[in-house]
Amino acid sequence: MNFKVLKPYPSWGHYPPTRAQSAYVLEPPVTLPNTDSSMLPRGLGRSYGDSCLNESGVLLDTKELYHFFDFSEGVLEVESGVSLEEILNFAVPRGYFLPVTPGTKFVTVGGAIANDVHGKNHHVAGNFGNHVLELTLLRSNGELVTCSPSQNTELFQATIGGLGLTGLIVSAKVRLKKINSSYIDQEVIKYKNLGEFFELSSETGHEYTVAWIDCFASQNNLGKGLFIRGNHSTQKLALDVHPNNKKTIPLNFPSWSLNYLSVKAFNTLYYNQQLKKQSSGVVGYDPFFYPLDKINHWNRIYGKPGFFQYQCVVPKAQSHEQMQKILKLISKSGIGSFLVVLKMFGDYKKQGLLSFPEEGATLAMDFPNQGEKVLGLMTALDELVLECGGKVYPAKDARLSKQSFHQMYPEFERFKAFIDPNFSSNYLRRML
Amino acid sequence: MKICCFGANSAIAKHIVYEYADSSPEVILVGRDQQKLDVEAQHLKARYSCKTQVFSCDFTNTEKTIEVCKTLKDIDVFIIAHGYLGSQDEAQNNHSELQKIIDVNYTSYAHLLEEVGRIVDMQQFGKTIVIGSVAGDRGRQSNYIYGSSKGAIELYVQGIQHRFAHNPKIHFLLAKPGFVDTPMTKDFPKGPLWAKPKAVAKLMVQGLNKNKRVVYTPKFWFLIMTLIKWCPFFVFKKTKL
Repeated sequence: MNFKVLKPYPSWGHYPPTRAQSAYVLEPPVTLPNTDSSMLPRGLGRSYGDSCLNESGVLLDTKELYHFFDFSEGVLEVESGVSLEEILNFAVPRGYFLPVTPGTKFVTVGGAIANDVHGKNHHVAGNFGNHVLELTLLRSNGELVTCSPSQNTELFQATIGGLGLTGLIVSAKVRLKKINSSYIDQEVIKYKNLGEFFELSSETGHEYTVAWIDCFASQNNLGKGLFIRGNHSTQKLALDVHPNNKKTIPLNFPSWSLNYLSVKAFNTLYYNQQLKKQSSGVVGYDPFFYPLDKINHWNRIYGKPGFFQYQCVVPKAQSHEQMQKILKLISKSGIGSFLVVLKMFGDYKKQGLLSFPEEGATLAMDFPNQGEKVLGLMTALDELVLECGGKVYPAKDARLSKQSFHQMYPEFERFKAFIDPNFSSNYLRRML
Repeated sequence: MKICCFGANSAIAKHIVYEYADSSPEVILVGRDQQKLDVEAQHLKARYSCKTQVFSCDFTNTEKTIEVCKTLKDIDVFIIAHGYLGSQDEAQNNHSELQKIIDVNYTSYAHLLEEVGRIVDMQQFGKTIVIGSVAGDRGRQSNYIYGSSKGAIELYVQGIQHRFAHNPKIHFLLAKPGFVDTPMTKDFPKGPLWAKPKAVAKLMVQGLNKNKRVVYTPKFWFLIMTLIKWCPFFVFKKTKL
């Protein structure tokens, strides 16, 4: 079968550089193309690295798999190409919300499962996969397999966080969360250092917590930032879907526009936007969970060379000490970004074999692609992460070494048995 | 509200229905592929709480088409959206392909429009969106067989608009989409002139609400087609259009 090269299918970080790829648009009732080349499901392309690329094979574009099948008693059954945005549009007016949501609503259900995504409520709700009751998987031999925690359990566990490699997720049943308000009672606390972050994180009573940190702060102020926490509002009881007034970044920014000075200036302004130690207010779910969704193609601010996203987790016991080392190294390097996020993951049993979250502290940040310098920094960070038994998140990775990957994910050996023989990705080929 | 959609598996038709779907209308889906219609019907039920009814029908089968139309009543909005792009090259050498392009894109439209005319005449209300194409604005070597069918629809719709001009509750809109990124055009390389079915559908519904007789979707096609239509032949013949 010949496939048309329709358009470049880039990864979100534009690294590795974008090349045109072959693609096949799936439509219900779904059948896989008859091909000798390898296949990889593709949703909205928000994976930062190369886990959403399959350069020697075919991408299975799921944009036409947007159908809803059923909704009853809080359980939603949809095709895998349905976006989280679409679920919110549907569920919020009915008094339901996503059980777990990442920092963008522009991902598909299939992608959320294949990366077992997490959000600001990990400490109380775990990952997206923890709320998937059942999924239908189409294997390349034509077999349609129903998987759930009790049926084809191992294949289910391999598929949750399985990076799309175990077959095509055709549809899934997801348990939504009941809400009385789509607004969030939010508190923003300005804190001075890492110690204060860990103290704030140990307080209970908030469903959603996250911290923005200034990665250039050093010494006594290392890790300073804004601690943001919230619960579904009890003050404003309304089930509103937020209007969509998006701004678009039309072109790639020139690559010099983000530099040490501009980012440092941004960080200082952002930290000091709030003068008081603590502020509180009621905000909609959109600004609370998805501040970046307001800006279409925000990734273009990194220009043509693209950027790396680095997300790691370090185990709870060593999290303070190790995070200190990590932040010191980043601060010293002078390479940094204005979006650095720190959060404590909770002790929540994950479903997936390759799921990323572990109990401990997780740090996520962007690095502009400045070549060797930044690659070297990330390799040094890998060592600090490995040293304490931590991990790097595959959904965001484009450069982790094979050796480090295998050390971080010893379960990969078991996972291999469940990979569909005709499925592959750039990421998989890098790690095999 | 009750909507009847002919060619209900077409991407543009689906998106026109979604434009109305928030008010949970009753939707009658008529199209060829029963399995796909069922998926669509289930989606409309689960996502938008619509009541749905499905008829599987090949519109080149005139008897069957008329039979389905006989069951329809109290329809507020009709959508006629099926189509077959076919291959110009093949149709120049193969009369059955030529026939198929004309049958699907023109003959079946004529029968359907007559049936819809009968129904709205009986009801004394009803609005209809008919999907034409910018390809119907001028015969061009690259697709005059498909284009002439779409052009013929325009004359037919003009006639029907004339026929019902006295009744403000009856309205026919001819929508002329340009390049739309749908499964029908999935093998074409896409460029800046291409639009998404959702955007095109929205413009069509806006046009219908404003009682327009013709809309180009997106609007810039009006400019492009004006230039193409009025381009003198001694220049036009040198193009590859």
